[in-house]
Order: sequence, then C-alpha cells, then structure tokens
Amino acid sequence: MDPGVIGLSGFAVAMVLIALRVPIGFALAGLAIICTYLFFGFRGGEEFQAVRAVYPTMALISSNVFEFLHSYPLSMVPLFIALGHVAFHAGITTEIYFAVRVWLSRIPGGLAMASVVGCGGFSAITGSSVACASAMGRICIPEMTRFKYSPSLATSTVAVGGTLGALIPPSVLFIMYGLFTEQSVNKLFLAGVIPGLLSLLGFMTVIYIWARLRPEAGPVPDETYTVKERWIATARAWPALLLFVVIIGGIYGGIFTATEAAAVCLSVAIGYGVLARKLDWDKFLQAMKDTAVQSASIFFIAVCAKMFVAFVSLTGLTQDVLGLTEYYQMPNWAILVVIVLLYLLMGMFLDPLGIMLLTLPFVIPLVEGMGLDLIWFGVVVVKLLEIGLITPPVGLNVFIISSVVEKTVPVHTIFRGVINFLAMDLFVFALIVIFPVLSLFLPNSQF
Amino acid sequence: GKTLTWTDGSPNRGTRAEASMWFADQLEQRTNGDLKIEFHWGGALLKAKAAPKGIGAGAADMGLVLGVYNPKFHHGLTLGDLPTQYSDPWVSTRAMYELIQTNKDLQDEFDKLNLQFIANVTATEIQLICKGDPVRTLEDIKGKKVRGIGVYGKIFKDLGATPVSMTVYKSYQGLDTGLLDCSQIYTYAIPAFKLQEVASEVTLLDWGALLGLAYVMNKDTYEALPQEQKDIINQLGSDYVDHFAEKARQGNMDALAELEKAADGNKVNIHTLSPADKEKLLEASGPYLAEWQAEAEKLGMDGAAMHKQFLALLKKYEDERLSAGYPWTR
Amino acid sequence: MDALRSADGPDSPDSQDMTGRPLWLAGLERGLLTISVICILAMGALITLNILTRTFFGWSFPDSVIIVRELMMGAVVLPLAYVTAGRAHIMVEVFTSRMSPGAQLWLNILSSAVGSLTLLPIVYGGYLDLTGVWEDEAYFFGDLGLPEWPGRLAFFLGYTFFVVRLVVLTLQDVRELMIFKNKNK
Ligand code: NA
Ligand code: NA
Repeated sequence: MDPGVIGLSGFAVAMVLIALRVPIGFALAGLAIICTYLFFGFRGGEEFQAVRAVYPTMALISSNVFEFLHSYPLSMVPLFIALGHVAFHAGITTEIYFAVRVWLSRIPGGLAMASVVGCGGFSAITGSSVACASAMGRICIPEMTRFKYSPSLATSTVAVGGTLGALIPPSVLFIMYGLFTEQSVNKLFLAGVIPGLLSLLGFMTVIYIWARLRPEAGPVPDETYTVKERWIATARAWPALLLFVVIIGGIYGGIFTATEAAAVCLSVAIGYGVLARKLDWDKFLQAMKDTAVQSASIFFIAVCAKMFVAFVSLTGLTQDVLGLTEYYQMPNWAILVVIVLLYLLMGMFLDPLGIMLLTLPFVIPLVEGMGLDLIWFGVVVVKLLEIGLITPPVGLNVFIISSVVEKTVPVHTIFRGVINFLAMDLFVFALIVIFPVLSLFLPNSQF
Repeated sequence: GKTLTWTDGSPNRGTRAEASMWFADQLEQRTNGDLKIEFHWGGALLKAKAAPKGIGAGAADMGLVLGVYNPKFHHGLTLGDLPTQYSDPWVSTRAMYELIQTNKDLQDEFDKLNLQFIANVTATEIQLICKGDPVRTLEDIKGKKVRGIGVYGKIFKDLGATPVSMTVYKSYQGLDTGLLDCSQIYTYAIPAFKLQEVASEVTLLDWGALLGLAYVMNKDTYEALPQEQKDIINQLGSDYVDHFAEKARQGNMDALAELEKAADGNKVNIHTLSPADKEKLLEASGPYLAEWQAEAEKLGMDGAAMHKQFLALLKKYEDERLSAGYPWTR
Repeated sequence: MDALRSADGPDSPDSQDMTGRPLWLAGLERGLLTISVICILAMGALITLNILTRTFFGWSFPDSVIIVRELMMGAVVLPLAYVTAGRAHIMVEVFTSRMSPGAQLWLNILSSAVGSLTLLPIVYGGYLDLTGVWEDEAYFFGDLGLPEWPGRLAFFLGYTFFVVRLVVLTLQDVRELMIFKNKNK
C-alpha cells in the first residue's frame, strides 16, 4: 500500500475521532502508531508482514516518546508553569494587575491590552511560546475574569499573546533556524524585534476594536484613582519587577541561561511568598499540584505530535510536495506561495519544532536557489509557525490555555476568540513578506 | 530497486551531511540505480541516542550512531573518543576504520546490536575558543568557565576549569553574555555558529579527536542483499572514509583561513600550546584510559590489546601520510 | 453535578460516588502526583543551587543536566493517571456538546477505548526499553556514570497506570451506560 494512501486515510479517521471529542493526544498518537505499523508492514511492495512490522514500530514509537521528554531545555516548561502558579498564589500577579488596572482602567479592553504587553515582556525572557502561554495564562486570565471580561476575549488574548514568545528574542525557534541555515543567531534575534512589536501592536488594535464594538466583552471599571493612588499601586508591584530584573539581569549579565532562568525565578518567587507570609503550605501544595497536572497534559499532547511528525517524515510527504514545485518549474513567487501554504497547512496539525525538523532540509535549498535573504526568511518561517500555534484544529497555545483554565472555557470558545486576531495576524504577516526591510533594518544597521 | 532509509540526528548542513549525500549518489551509480537512499535529517525519524536500537530493530535501514550516547553497548567504539597525539582527520579515521574491521571484540559489539559497520567519521580536531583572556598555557584554563564535551570536558575540569553544560547551539549566547569564558569547538564550527562574532581567541590544542562515530546498517537488511551489492557497499564505505577526511580537512583549513583573514570584520587570534604543555595534556587523559580499559575487561573485551592495536594503526597511517601524502594527492 | 462532563480530580468530595471509583487507585494516583511535585521542586532546586555554586565557588554539580533530564520523566509522566481520572485531557467539544446524555456516554466509552488501545504499544515499548537498559546495565556518559533505569522505570510506571486508569474508566463508562439504559426503559 502506498504510504500516501495510508497517511491520508489515517488522517481522516483521526479528524473524525477528534470531532467526536476523543482527546487530541489519543487521536494523534493512535493514528501515528497504526500508520507506522502499516507502513512497515507493507514495506518493500511485498505482501503484508504482520510480525516483522512490530519491532520497528515499537522502536520508533517508544524511543520518540521517551527521548522527546528526556530533555534538559524542556525542563523550563514545568518550571515556568510552577512560577505562574506560585506567583498567582503569592499575590505577585494580583499586585501588578492592580497597578496596570489603575493606569489603564479608563481604556476599553485595558486589561487585555496589559496582558498582551505582559506577554511581550515575558517573551523577552523565555525563548518558548509554550512557556509564555502557560505562565501568562495563569497570571492574566483569572484577573480578567474577575473584572467580567468575556471568557472568549480573556483566553484568546493570552493564547495569541503567547505567540510573541518565539518572535521577540531570545527564541528557541530562531536558534534552531540559525543552526539549520548557518545564519547569525544574533542577526536573527534582531530581525525578530520589529515584526514582534508590529504583531503586538496589531493585537492591541484588535482588542481595542473588539472592546469598542462589544463593550460588555471588556468592561471599563467605574472607579477613579488619584495620581498618588496610582503611584502607590505601582510601587506595590515591586515583586513582579524584581522577577523581571532577575531574569533580564541574569541572562544578559552572563549568570545563567534562559533555561536556567525558570528555576531561579521559581526559587525567588517561593522565597518572596514565604518571607512576605503570602504563601502558606496549602496554597503552595495546590500550586504545585496544578503545575504537575498541567505539565503532564501539555507534554502528553506534545509527545503525540512528535510521534505524528516521525510518521510524516517516514512517508516522505514533505519531500514529495516540494519536489512538485521543481517538477513544474514554477516561478519564484509561486514557489514561495506553495511554501507558505505548506507551513500554514502543517501549522494546523503539528508543533513548530516538528515542522521545522521536517521542512527546513528541503525548503532552505529552494529558498537559497531563489536568491532570497535567509535572515528575512527566518522571520517569515517563525511568524508562520507562531500562527500555527493558534490555528484549529491543533493549536498548541489554545490547548495550553484550555488546560490553564482547567477546561472552564471550552476549546472552541478560545478558537472563536482567536479568529478575531487571525485576520490581523495574516495582515502583519503580509507586511513582513512584502517589506523585508521590517526584518532586515535592525540586523543590517548593526555594524 | 530498493530504497534504504537513513537516519541522522543532525541537520543536513555541513561537510558530514554533504559526504553522506555523496555516499547516496555513489551507491545509486555503482548499483545502476538498484539501491537508493532516503535521508531523514535532524532526528525527525529517530533521535541520535535511539539510533542504534532503532536501526537494529529496522525502524531505519542505516544511519549514524555515536558511541558517547550509549557508552554501555558501544564501549569498544568509545575508545576512539579518548585523546591521542594524532589529530589528522585522515590518519585517525583510517586507523579507526581498520580497527573496527579487524578487531574481533569490536565486530562482536556491532553484531550484538544487529548492526553492520559501514564507515566511520570524526568530529575533527578539538580546539578551544575563548572570549577575553586567551588560553596560551594550561595554567590559563584554571578558573575559566568552560563548555567541554566527553572525556575532553572532564580533563578541562581536572585542569581547574568550571564546567558549564550547554549545547553547542547555545554557546554563541553563552560566550556573548559571559556565562562561558571558553567553549570546546571544532574549527569548521566556529564560522558555522558565528562564534567569531562574540569570541576571538582560538587555541589549537592538537589533542586528538572524537572518533566514536560510525555509519551502520541493519544487519538483516545487509545480509538480504546479493553478494555483489554487499561488495559495493563495503568498498564504498572505505572510499567514504577517504572522501570525508579530504573534505573535512579542507573545510577546517578554509575556515581557519577565513577566520584569520577576518573578512566579516571579526579578527581571530590563533594560539598554540608549548610541546611541554601538550605532553601534560596527553598525560592528563591517563586515568580515563585506565578507566576505559577496566570497563572493557569487565565486559569481556581485551581492552589492552584493542588500545595497543589502535595506537599501532594510528602510527601506521601517520607514517604513510608523512611518506606518501594523502591518497587524494598521490 | 453534571456527572457526564465532570472535570473533578479524585480529590473532589464526590470522588467516591456511586460510580464506584476504586479507592486504592485514587490513592496511588495521588501518590504518583506527589512524586511528580517532588521531581519538579528538585529540578528547580538543583538548577538554582548549581547556578549559585558555579557563580560563587567555581564548582558545578556533577551530572546536573542528566539528573534534570531524569527528573523530567518523573515530573511529566507520573501524573498522567491522575489527569485521566479527572478526564482533564484536552479535547474538542464543539461538535458534541449538544448531543443527548445517552450519546455522551457512548462518546466517553469511545474516548477511553481509543486511549487504552493507543497507549498499550507505548507501555509495551516502555517495558522493552526498561528491561533493555536493565539487562544492558546501561548508563549515561558523565561524571558519575548514572544508570539509565530510573527514568525508564518512571516512564513505564507512568504510562502503565495511565492505561490502568483508562481501562477502569472504560468499565465505569459501560456501567453508567447500563444504568442509564435501565432508567430510560
Ligand atoms: Na522570546
Ligand atoms: Na495549529
């Protein structure tokens, strides 16, 4: 049987299962396992080899799951999730939200805007969109809910804001891209800055329009504050500022890596909570239990996506699609359109790192052949991958937010909110593609 | 024809990947298109650590295995990772190739994993790149924060360095922020990771090279091939070693020339150690060699004989290089 | 309480309700969750201490990277059974939320059954890997030559109880369906 046929029919079955609310992880992993087994069984064009196919399938499945989780850099994810919970229970986030609230209280959607700005700031700290969405989700959403923001606006804001994580430096995706393409990581980081800020501006605009058109979604609190009150509120937010200084100072001062920053911040937050008597034993236990549950469900989906990537790699599907562009001798712009569509399509189903592993080996030679700037293309790819984090049906950031709010907001409600941002995101993406100077201005003016 | 899947934990860039593609082209040509290779790069199919078991089980037909990722069942192979006085890529890979081909213990080691050895490569000569104060003598290493790899990293620690663990991909940021003072590195990798942008003092240690890297094939897949194709693969494996050594050596020389020319505005200073310091560096690996031999005996291998044979082969190929030059210049 | 769409963990007051969740399993899941919490805190503490000793004393914890990687297995795999008990896995409910209570019960059974079948090969693979590293006496290259089996064991246990919980869940779902059918006769 042709691998393409196996893949496509398996895929259709998985989509039906997901629609019947079978957990996404089960559907993806089940599909990957069965298709991998069939692939090895039908291999070599002989008749089906039921027994011989078992061992390679097992080797591929279990080794991929284990090796994926057995990772030092990924330790940052549970630690940042824990930071979010501890900061929440120790009141660190409540204080900063109070400060932001008193400053932005008169602006429609002010708290949602503050959340997006917060995501931008958090991205400048971690290199990972997933960590960004999980930590900021825990910090922002309860506050917005408290002020009667609509669940759709509150959750989608953070899901979307989380996508800034890999665009604003430092960024794991840019490092991976730089290594594949032998481009300067420094320049890639700089190239991401303006597109990152542009995306942030775009998100704020969407929130403003949303809150204007539907004032009940982002209500304006009817309190007024004196200037003195505002500054007192700001001063009380010092623990959040301390965390920010620790992270920025530590990473750029050469004391620790971005991966290690998560552990340091967690320690600082726990230390603050205990010394300021804001974190008792029960709250702490609850925070850590929530962390464990969330980490487990996030990594379960990620692992299932990884199995799926290994299967897609096995079928050689990406090679085939890109081979077609050569076969038909397409003009450059058409090849670029095919590449973008391919990323958007894959982004609907796969995780960013998996897509990169699968595509870059074939895409980069094509792009290089067209004489396009690889730094600019890096920004294009990362922006596409970030869009993929919020597109249905497999939107990793949306799933993370759903798990952060303990499923009190259904996945489809978050996606419905995200749709409002997607149009703006595609507009920003078009700007990045049409005006390479947006990406290249900073790296080229460096020397 | 038959298509063989090839798994590789690294991206499809650089000398080693290009040499692998050369292997695939040659295989297709020499078998008149009967054997083809389909590459799976960047660990998309199997992660590097899972490669030996995965290939042995048939999840991929062939690919790269690294001894250091699975030191227990590649113990013999990790002999190649210990420091020696021979750093030349051709001399060291040739010696390793012949060692694996002729040593019974090493053959058994691959057999046990259901793997057929095809060829071997090297990560090439180990150097040190530092930011700020250069390392001119072994004393200079004391107190520096160093990213090291394998036994080499352990020896840096023994010499007084503070080890800092991070991947080579993060070493740019590490050196930039000052989290690292120095990073163990290969010459070609300095421009590849743009390290000259953030660090400018390179010390050529001339201290051996990692050699425990082998290309292997699933034994059943190999055995099922007709004898004629097996012969072609065996010959190609041997040719591959020469081909890779030539390209790797050229790549390192080009990189060094480029760094010294400072075409991108980043000047790099090159330092070397005194002969006395080089001697000391080699002596520092003594305990690790003893450790390796003790473990080999425990596993039922004749570690002393293997090491003796390896040194003799290194000497043999070094002599050949000095008298006759490289095969591609003959 | 909406028994069909419950997102409560086994800690909730009605966790020992008439659907008969086995208590020993709930206790075991809480135990695994506690170990996971300890692993997360240990990762944080180890990394923080390593930074402090490295910065102030020029000394690094031996094999700290390997230990963190091993702790990751305990941290993110062991709570899976607990997550499953609360039906807290991430799913898309938009197409099914308006279906009848009877259909919801059928969907529950479908989820648990697909999940159990999917996980069995992973558990079996985990078992092969665990026995493999145990028999090989495999260890990590590093300062201490740490054995590989603890992480593999955590992985195997985490996924085994994940499957056990799913099978129990499937049986419960079948029972609920029978009760539902009897009621609506
Ligand atoms: Na970032
Ligand atoms: Na998506």
